[in-house]
Amino acid sequence: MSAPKSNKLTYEEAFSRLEEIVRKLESGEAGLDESLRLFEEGIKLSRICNERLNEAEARIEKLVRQADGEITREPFVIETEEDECDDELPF
Amino acid sequence: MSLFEPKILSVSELTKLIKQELELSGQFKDILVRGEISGVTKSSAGHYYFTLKDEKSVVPCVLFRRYWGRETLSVELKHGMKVIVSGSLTVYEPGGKYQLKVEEVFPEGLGRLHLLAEELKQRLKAEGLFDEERKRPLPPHPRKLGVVTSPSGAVIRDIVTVARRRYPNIEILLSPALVQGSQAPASIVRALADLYAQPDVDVIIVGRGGGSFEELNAFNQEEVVRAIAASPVPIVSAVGHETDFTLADLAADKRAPTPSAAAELVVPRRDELCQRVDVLRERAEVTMLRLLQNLRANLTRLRTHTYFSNPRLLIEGKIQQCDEITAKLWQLGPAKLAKNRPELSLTQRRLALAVAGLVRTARQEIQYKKQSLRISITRMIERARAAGENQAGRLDALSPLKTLARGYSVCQNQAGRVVTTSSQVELGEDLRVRLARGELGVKVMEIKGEEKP
Repeated sequence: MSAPKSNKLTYEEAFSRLEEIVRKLESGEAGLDESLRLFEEGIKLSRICNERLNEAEARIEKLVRQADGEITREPFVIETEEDECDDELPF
Repeated sequence: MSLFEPKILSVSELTKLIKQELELSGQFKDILVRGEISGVTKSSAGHYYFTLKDEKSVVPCVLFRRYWGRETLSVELKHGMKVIVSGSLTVYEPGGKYQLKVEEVFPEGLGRLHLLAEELKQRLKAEGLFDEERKRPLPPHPRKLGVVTSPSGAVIRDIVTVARRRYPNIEILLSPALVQGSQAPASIVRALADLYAQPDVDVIIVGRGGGSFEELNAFNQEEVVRAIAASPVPIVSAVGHETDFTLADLAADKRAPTPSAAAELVVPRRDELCQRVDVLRERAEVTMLRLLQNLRANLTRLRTHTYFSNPRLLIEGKIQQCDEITAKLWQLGPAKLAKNRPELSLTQRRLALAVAGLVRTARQEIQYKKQSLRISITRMIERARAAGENQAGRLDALSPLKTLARGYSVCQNQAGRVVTTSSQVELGEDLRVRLARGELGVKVMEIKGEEKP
């Protein structure tokens, strides 16, 4: 694996590359130059991981079939039942 | 003559032939047999041995423990119980008997639906639809969770509640389906297909709440089971309660006992994921810091080494050697020899003079070498010093990270240039402020200090 195409990495990819880098750094095999490069990449990757964890939008949607057969998405609101406590619902 | 020789089989050859005939023909594989249980014994290893009989015949049966209490519809075995068993005929060679290797036992009174489901199960199993090798691992960080279930009711609510608790900014896409009644199978299949067409869904939960065998029947229908097995992304079944098993469970990549449990399986805890990243980052920082400290210590040791602090030491020994050799040569005094010993022949004198010339040249050579040695060592030391300075400079270049950690921050304009004086920015310009952790986007409200040129 060479230099990462940072923005396209998924969380999983970034995380496993980060694990690999930390392993390499800790093994002490790399010299100063290589270590500095790995370290910089590692910091970048940890930032990407955090970005991925933050970028989802807490959306709840449902698929709706239109009359013409096309499928669209609409926000989904949960029907609450009267006899049940819905305190824990976060919306 | 072999024509007249009768073919004689050994006992084990005969048994082997029978075994092959019975087991390989496939005729007695995955069959259902009705009968009454008698003589149940349980071995110390946990296997059951019993006989299945009717008015005319008996067949010995064995139920190995590994089939017991698995995801089966089996019931506890009792003497006199009328049952239907599923299994395959095998030959037990040491005993010279055939027996039914039972996989499941159902009470005789079992409804038609059970038997249909059982028949379908055997058929799909033989097809390999439930094979372990087909099971895929769940994604560790799903981007969008697809759910196929009823839009009303507790299931979707439980899933949303649990999912949000674990990962507050989770994205969920519901594909609504009828999960009960005659329309349910077609509805579930369509809802699954709709979800499969969404490119951003990377894991799916399909399920419904608990109910009777009849109410869960949609999840025992071939079209539904096949649709689940055909999922392009990992899929988790959550049908009914703990004790309910359906064929959908066998076709899914994973079975969850309840919808809430399915959400727990599928949705990772966001704080744990964040923590795992932080731990790795910290390990990288600690390792790097230690490496730099070691290098710094090495550098300091080298710089304070005697040869650097007192470079003359490097050459003093050699200078002394040179002096000693030169002195020795003069002592030998070939020139003196030539002058003071008239009795020597002309040849000998000439020789002596020649030697004297050689010695002179050698001496000059030594003088010259001494000089250049001094020069090159001085140069070497200078170079080493410069290299040391350079490395030290690189190490210091890293310290911004530490500076940030002390509470300073770096201000950059949109082009990414670091802002160091107020004259570099305009009123209202958007800037980015990098902190030790995270960044801020800020707007310039006021400019003070240095005037614009």
